[in-house]
This record gives sequence, C-alpha cells and structure tokens, in this order.
Amino acid sequence: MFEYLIGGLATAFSPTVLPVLLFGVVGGVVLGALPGLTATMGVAILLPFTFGMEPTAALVMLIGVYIGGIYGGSIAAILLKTPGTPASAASVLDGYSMTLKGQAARALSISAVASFIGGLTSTIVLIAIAPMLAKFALRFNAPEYFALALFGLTIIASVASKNILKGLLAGTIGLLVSTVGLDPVTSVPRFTFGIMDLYSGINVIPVLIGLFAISEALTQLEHLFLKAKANSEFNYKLLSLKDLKTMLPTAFKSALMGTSIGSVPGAGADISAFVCYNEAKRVAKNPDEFGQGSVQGLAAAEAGNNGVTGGSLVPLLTLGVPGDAVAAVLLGALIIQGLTPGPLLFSQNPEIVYGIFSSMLVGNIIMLLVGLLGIRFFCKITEVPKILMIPIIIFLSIVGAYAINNSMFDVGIAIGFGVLGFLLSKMDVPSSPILLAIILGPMAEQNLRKSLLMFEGSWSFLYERPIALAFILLAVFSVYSTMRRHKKARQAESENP
Amino acid sequence: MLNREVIFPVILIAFSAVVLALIPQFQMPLYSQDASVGAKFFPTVIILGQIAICIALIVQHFVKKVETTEAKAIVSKMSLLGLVFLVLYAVLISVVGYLIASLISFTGYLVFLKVKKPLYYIVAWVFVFAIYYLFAKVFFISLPEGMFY
Repeated sequence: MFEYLIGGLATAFSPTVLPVLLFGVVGGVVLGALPGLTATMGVAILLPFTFGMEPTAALVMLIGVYIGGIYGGSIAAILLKTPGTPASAASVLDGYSMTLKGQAARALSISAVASFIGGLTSTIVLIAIAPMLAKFALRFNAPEYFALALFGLTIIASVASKNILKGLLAGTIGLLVSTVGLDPVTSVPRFTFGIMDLYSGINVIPVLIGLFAISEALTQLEHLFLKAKANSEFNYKLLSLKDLKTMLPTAFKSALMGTSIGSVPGAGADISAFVCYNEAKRVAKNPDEFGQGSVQGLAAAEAGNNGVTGGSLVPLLTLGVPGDAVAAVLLGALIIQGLTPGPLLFSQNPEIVYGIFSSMLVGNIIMLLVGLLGIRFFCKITEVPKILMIPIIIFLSIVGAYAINNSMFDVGIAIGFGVLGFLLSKMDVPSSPILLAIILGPMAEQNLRKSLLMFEGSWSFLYERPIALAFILLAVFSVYSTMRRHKKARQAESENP
Repeated sequence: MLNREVIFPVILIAFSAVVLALIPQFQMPLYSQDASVGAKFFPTVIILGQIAICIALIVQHFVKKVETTEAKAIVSKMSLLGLVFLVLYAVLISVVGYLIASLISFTGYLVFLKVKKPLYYIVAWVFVFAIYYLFAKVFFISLPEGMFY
C-alpha cells in the first residue's frame, strides 16, 4: 500500500497534476462562496472540462473542487450570514456571531484549520479503513436511516437556544414544507395545488438562501441608518494558540463523526455539520456559548462538513455506490474515463486510486493555505459599506436561487422564505430548525414508511435492529440532556436574575 | 393584553386547521400498498404536533409569564421598502433579464437612498458585470434573459 501511496504523492506533485489540483481547489472555494452554487454544482460544472484530460488529473481536479467547495461555502456563511452551500448552514450560528464581534479573521482561520483537520482526518481514514467502513455502511437499511434522521432531528431542541418550544415549532414548519410534492412511497401529490413546480417538492437551496441571506438583508436594511455598535471594531487577529487548543479535540472528534456519516449513503455534509455541532454542544462545558461565537461550535461544524469529503468516497471507490450527489457526479467522471468503480478498481487501477488519495491529502493542504492566505482578502468584504452590501446580498441571492434549476419559481420560493425567516426572527423563532427539518424530514418519512413495509406494519424495527436502537437511544439522550441543560439555565437565571 | 406571543400561535393554529382540512383531500394511490401508514400519516402527525406546540406556547405565556418579545413594530418602513425592492427586482429580472434589471435596480436603489458618491455607482455596475461574466461566461450558467430575448 505504501509504495502506491508514495507513487500517488509523486503523481500529486507532478507538473501535470499539481496545477490542476490547485485550480480545482481555488475554483471550488470561489464557487462554494457564491450562494446557490454548491460543491455538487461546482463538480458538475467543471466535469466537461475533464473529458480531454488524463484520468488521474481529471479526477484530482474534480476532487479539488469538492474539497474547496465545501470550505468555500463557509466564507460567505461567516462573513455575510449567507451560507454558500447547505453544508455551511451550521457555520452561520457561531461564525457570523464572531464577525458581528469584529472577529471575522479569527472565525475564518478557525474555519480553515477545522476544515483542514476534517478533510485530512477523513482522507487518512479513507486510505486506512475504506473497505471496513464500506461494510459498516452497507448494514444501513431503512430502519437505520430513519433512526439516523430521528437523531438528527433532535438537534432542533439544541439549536433553539432561548425557547425549546419555539425551536420545535420552527421544526414542524420545516417538516411540513418537506411533505410538499409527490409522496415518496405512493407518489400521491401532497399540497401541490396543481402547480407543476411543486410536484418535485421544495428545493432546499432557495429555502436556505431565503431564510439566511434574504431575511438578513431585510434585517440589515432596518438598521441601515443606525450607528454601528462600538464593540464591533474590526481586527485582523487570527486564531490564538488557546483557540487552537480549545478546538482541537472537538475538531478531531467531529472529523471522525463526519467521515462515518459521509460513508453512509444518503447522509451528506449538511447533515454531518449539524450532527457534529449538536454533539459538540451536548458535551461542552459552556453550551450557552454556542450560537454566540463559540470556537468549539464553529470548529465542530467545519470539521464535520469537511470530514464528509473522504467518507463519501468510501462507498464510491469500494463498492461503486455513490454516497451523495457529488459522489454520483464523480462516478460519472470515472465511467467517462473508462474506469469501473468498485472493488476491482483497487486491483486493476491502484495508481489512480492512490493518486486520488494522495491528491486529497495535498488538496487539503492547498485548501488550508488558500484559506489562511486569503483571509485578508476575504475580510475586505466586511469593510464594504452596508448600503452597498445589502443589494449585493439580494442580487447574489436571486441569481443563486435562479441558477439551481434556471427557474423563477425558485426565486419566488427564496423571497417567500426570506420574508418568513424575517418575520419569524421578530418572534424569536430560530430559522435553522426549519432548514434542518427540510433536509431530514424526507429521509425520516421515506425510511419510516419503508421500514413499516419491510416489517409488515410492525414497529419492532425500532428495538430489533442494533444500529437503529443505538441511534434512537442517542436521540432520547440528546433530548434529555438538552432539556436538563435548559432547566439548569432557567434555575441559574432565577437565582441570579 | 393580547400581544404577538399569543396572536402568532393563534394564527398558526388557524393555518394548521386549514392544512388539516386539506389532508383528507389527498388522492388515493393508484396501486394499493400493503402499508400501515399512507401519504396522510406524516403531514397529520406534524400538524397535530404543531397545534400542540402552539397551545403549549400560549399556556407558557399565561402561566409561566415568559419574557415577551420587545414590542417593536414587526415590519419597519425600511424592511417594507426592502421587500418591495426584492419583488420589483424579481419581476424586472423576469421581464428584461439579469443584466438590465440589475443595472436599473442597483442604480435606482442608490438614487432612492440619495447616495452621492460616484464610487458607489461604479462599484455597483462593476459588481453587476462581474457576476454576469462569472456566471454566464466562465461557469456557463444561464442567467435570466427576460421575455424579449
């Protein structure tokens, strides 16, 4: 294995591959930072450019875009509260809070380092135990997916910092939105009112753009002529040694969690970021700091979403099964290059497999360098006057919402959810649970109903399947610990008003 | 006194009641499935949960005297203007396309807010053209072209 890996590293640093990898990572960062352009879209856009390339260079470039795209999404999330990709929605919670405190450079550097840890750990795990992880992922069936989604949904209680009921209410709004469209099992239209665009359901990206970007633009417009708070002075200080010490354990744990989640087909970087954020908050000494600019919170979300990059390649490379949308595009790229993904790829084309692995290692280093060296440039965004920034956010949002499907309907959805997010913020109802529920709702419903079909109407799958039972127990424990934390916080408040 | 902490859940309960009335109107599946739960199950559970949470919020407000949200106006003049700007831009973009709509809207916005610095206008136009170039010419992603093209 090691000689292949060394050969792969030589390939990654070769004059034909390194520039392509660099282009892929930088291009991915730019694409990811633009709202509406996801890492999946980035890989798909650049796919035609690889047709004439040699196989290793072609795949390396696409993987570079993937790594860069997942990281790039966080730049806009941290600086503008406009997540470039769904995977970076969890980074808004603490990243944007830091920007508001004038610590954008610190937030971006934490994000770059945590993303690097996530990506690198994930790649190392991919190289070391890819076949083993693939076997574990294959044991996932409908009951396990349902339990995983249920566990993910318990994050709603955790994200709602002020009032659990309002968080749950937002969750039900999101779940209801997720039921719009054709029923996943019987294809019965639900809440479509004869509108063709609604038959395929409501796309998560316009919702995300509306809830975070447009509602933020409306909020900023309200404060346009108000004087900025004195404490929001900007500084270029990067993360300190103390920050690094604080974030390292969380980042490594989230990286491993992200890799495991990524290796499960169907669970992507967006779900991973929220699950890791929730777990970090659950075990944190000061969970109240989460959402207020917590180093651990941001590190967990970032390492969690980049941890998926290696994990999602596990089922693709070892079994030929794409774990998520990006992996599906990469599968297409492999086939176009005349390669057959699956166990035979390791024995027939080891130089390509290890070329990919090595390039991922190098790609993550490039991402870290681009992330850290580019901070000064990225931070210039925060210095743009608000009066210019608001329409820029609005234009990017509208263009981003349109670009997904070339549809004005999606633009309408983004505006509608922008207004909804704005009004809900006035009621102290958080927006993140809506997004989380829209992502996890279909997964929960589809797999619950598939499980019931598999078990002939019996709910025994909830306790008969060990992995499903483990996730359900984790979900119960997560809700219990969140409620206990809220109770303690209330008691502390009443004792020290 | 009734405030938004009560009115908001009440509105949502009314909305939930409408949705609950819509659920029985779902079509029957063409092929009967041997399933214990159908297309109506999940939306019904969600709506019932939503109603229960709204009732709990009202009870919480009256019983526990939870801190109420500050009594500022929900929608200010500026946010309403922003909303009008958003809708006008969306309409304009579908009629005349991205480039013209964005140039008109950005310029109109700056004129409306009485911005006098020429640099701001230059930044606005450069931004509009840069986005157009990036999307349409570099990434080959089609932007709205309007009705006349």
